[in-house]
Amino acid sequence: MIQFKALLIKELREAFRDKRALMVALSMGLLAPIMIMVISKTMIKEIVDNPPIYVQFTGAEFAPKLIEKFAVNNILQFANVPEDEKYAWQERNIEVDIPKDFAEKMLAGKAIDVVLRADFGKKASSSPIRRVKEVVREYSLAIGYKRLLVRGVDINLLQPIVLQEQDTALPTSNAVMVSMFLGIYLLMGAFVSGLSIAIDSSAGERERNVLEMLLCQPVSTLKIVLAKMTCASAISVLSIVIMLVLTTVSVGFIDLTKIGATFSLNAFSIAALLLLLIPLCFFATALQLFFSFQAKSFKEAQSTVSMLIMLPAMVPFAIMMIDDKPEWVNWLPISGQSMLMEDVFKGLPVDWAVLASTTAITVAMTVALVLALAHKLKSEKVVMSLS
Amino acid sequence: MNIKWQSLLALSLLSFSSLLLADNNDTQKNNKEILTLENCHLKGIKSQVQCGTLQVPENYSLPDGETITVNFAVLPAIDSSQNKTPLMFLAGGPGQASVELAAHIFSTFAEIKKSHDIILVDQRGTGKSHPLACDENEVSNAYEIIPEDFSPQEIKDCIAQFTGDLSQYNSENAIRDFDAVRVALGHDKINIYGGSYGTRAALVYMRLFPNALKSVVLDSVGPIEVPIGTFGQSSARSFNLLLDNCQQDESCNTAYPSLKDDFKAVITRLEQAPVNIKIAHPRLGTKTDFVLSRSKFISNLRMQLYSMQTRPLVPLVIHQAFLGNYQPMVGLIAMSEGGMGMYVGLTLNVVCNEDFPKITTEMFAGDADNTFGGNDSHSAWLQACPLWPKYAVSEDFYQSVTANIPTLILSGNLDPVTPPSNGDESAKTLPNNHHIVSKNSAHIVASTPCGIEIVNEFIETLDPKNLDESCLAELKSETFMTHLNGNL
Amino acid sequence: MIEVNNLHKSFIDKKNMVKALDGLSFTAKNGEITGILGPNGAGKTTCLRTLYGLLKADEGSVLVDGINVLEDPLAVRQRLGIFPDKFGLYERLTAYEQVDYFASLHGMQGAKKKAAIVQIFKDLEMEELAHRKTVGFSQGQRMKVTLAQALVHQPKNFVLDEPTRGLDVMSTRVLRNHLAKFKEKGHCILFSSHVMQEVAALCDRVIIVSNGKLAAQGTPQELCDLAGEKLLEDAFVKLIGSDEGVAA
Repeated sequence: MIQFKALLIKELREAFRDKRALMVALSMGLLAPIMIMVISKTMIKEIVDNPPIYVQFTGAEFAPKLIEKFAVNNILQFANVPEDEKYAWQERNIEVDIPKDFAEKMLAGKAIDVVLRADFGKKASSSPIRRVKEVVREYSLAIGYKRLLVRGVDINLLQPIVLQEQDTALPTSNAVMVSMFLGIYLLMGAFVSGLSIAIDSSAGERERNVLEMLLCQPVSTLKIVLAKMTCASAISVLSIVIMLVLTTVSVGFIDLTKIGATFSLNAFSIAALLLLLIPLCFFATALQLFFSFQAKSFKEAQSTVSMLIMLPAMVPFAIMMIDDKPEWVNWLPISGQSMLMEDVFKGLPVDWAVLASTTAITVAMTVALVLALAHKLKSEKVVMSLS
Repeated sequence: MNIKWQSLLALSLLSFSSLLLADNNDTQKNNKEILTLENCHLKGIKSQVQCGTLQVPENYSLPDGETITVNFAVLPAIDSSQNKTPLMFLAGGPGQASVELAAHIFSTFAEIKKSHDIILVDQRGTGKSHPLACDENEVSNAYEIIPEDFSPQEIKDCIAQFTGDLSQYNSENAIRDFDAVRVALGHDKINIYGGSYGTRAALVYMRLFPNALKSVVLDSVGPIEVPIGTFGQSSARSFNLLLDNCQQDESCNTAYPSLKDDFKAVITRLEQAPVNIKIAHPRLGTKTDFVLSRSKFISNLRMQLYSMQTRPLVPLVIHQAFLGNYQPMVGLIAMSEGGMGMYVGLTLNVVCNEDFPKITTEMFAGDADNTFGGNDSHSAWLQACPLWPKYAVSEDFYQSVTANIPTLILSGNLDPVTPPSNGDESAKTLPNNHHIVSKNSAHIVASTPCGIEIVNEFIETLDPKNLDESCLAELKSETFMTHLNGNL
Repeated sequence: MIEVNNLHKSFIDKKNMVKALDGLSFTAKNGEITGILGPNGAGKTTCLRTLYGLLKADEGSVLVDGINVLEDPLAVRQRLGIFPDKFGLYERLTAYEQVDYFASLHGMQGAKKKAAIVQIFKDLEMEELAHRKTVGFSQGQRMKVTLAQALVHQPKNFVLDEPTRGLDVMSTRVLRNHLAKFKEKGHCILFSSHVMQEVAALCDRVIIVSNGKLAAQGTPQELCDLAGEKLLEDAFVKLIGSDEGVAA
């Protein structure tokens, strides 16, 4: 125990004094909430907030009510564009032409051709175009309804079939976006945060010629591996806790309800998430140590281990893509955690059986990696490659 | 012939006159358990909400006697943290079923629903809470019938169909049910929003259970002190404001320079004899008779005065009728042909016992002295109420409400049934209230996003006197349809 | 006391069998400084690594104070103070922390550990280095820290793998003095080198290893006599049978 304590204290001391590695480690925790904030804000802006649109109207004077309707929906005349946005709207160049016989045709009950001219393929124009079309459609429909009504027609005739959509998702499961990001960031955090520490304490120590000295000490390789893993995992866990806390706090400043989403993490769900992720942190660092101890140099370790980062990024996407998931996907590390996290975010009850088995499998794989690594460190191959 | 519930409809306060009124379509089951709550779908709402039922005594002074099932729904807040006190919506009428209004509330109350659960309870006698409805044997032809044909026998037949002790279907017991739902859902306090008759219910709630309420919104008030039933003066006031607004609007004035005279001419014409013409059935397209009497004309016009969406049609309908074109009026009748979701049995049970006895002959006479419908709004009460079974209402019921609860009072200046003076009446006795009158609103101020925003701010701050009312000033004054093909 | 008996060790290097140790035997006694001398590739480092238990001998045994390293490597390491050929330092730790770390790894704790650390810093005259981070230390300072960490648990046996490599004169003297002190206290010191003068000056006994075998052993004087040369270097060259790999 004295030995393990000494090993761990030394690893932690080194980790916390390596400012650069620590920054890299914790940057995930700090960056994820910022990313989530920025992405959410942009989405809200695009989906809900109706930012002003500036359209080049010709013949506006022929249809004052229509122009008024546009204005209510924040679709304004190009002449009103503020100087700083002028260039952007000039680029988009959305034009609406209102014919001068607008009034005449309206009163005659004839179809009026209003022209919408723009580059429909341009992405920046797609939302404004959609909004212009929506306003014209609504305005046109409202007039149509009234025309029929005053002719003594039941306006319900216009809707022979009303599709009643019934969404079977639970009322709380619409936080998809934020939770999807946070889920991936958490998995990434579990994998990336301890990475530089793990490489430094394995391949780094070998390159600095301190590993042989350590292996000559009367201490079992198992303890060495455990201490290094614990240290790197502790950093990952710290990073994840920071991420969770900061995200919870920062998302509070965004009105996600605008897009029908909610995101709240209470103490229980944070606890559940940690319960899920802590074993994964250990698994991740065990995996990283396993590969970087075998690398011949610091550089090689970095490139090998960097490939491992792909796992947490790829697995959740792969899972999303597969519609009929085989049962065993539930139990594997990363995929199991990823799916359980989704449930936690959706506010669904945690499936404790799946959580227990996923955790058990993750822990078992971690133990296997640790034992294999401890055994490898005793092998002559590792010793021979020391010099 | 069956009862013209349609024509009676126009007598009640109503809460929402919406083109899209919803029928209840939930998956609630008739369980014997005290409280059941399960996920369900309601018509017009895509996402799942929660539906429940609660067994309550029919007569609260006989807790071991007969029970009835009270139906309710909870529209869960988008923010699932449950941090905020829920809002209970008290529907109008009397006789509207809250749960049937779910889709409408789901969209109009969206801002509030972001962080507050919304509780909807079918008032006893409506919806799925022991409804007082009559079987309508044959489909009525709304185009042929006129209110003047109304016969007392139909009311008697209908009363004979009701089960249960009618004397228990009163406002106070309705509130006891609502509060039982609050308790069953485990809320210490709730906010309540009452619209139209719902404000009367809210006032009763304030008197019976003041400690259960965190805040109260009274939108378009039916005060205890003002009996429901005399809408002659108020609808004339609303109609005259419409005439004024048309006159002040250049295009309306140009299109209908003598609207007031047109109206008088039509009334005079209809008083002589109802118009009887052949029309294509608005829905079926087949030939059918259309009969338009004075009362039918007025009551249908009055219905349009409730809402800022339908008021713009009124000048055109009058002018076209004046020109002998009754199709616009046919279209209006078609719009409400499916009914307004009003449980008229409950409407009459409440109004005939709690309000009608308080209206004196002088009050009726004074109310009839107006330039719009005259005594048109009285006849149905005068015919139906004497036939209706009586129950005794306690004197407490008529006491002014003085509960010290933050209260926001809203009135629409153009309202044909609950004019701003009603709001003033309740404001007199409530210690912590603020009365906001919206110039360009009719019945129900919270039907606009601006009104909802004010309500939302109020239930967040609970400070009625310091609300941001500025958006009301931005509501546009009414504009009118000036041509059969639309306006420009 | 370190006893090496008939060590055999082969490696496979690029499909060729390389015999690194071929029946090497020798004994390093307590109270003596024993030097291992041999050309590059003679098997010195392999021999020492086998001694620490990092490598396993194909045949033969190593006993440290009578304990077989194959049977209980941790107990053997407990009794060894090791000064490796390539010593690195934990550059983010202070000298004190570094020595403290190794003391703890040897199971020391509390006041006893502290006293031992203070003592070794005093003995090596490096108190002023104690609380500086080791990054940027001179080669001599690094040697001292490494020495302190090897000796803090006061091992009975002390193994040094080419310790004076890269050291300046002053540092070499400090090391030499310290080894002499240890010897007087009755410790067993084993010391590999290919610097003749150093071996000649320090060692009580010299073991010459060549091609994984013991080429000769004895005091420096005995070896000179054996080879019939005056200088140890000449004797060495003669004894290993070639002048290959001889360093100055």
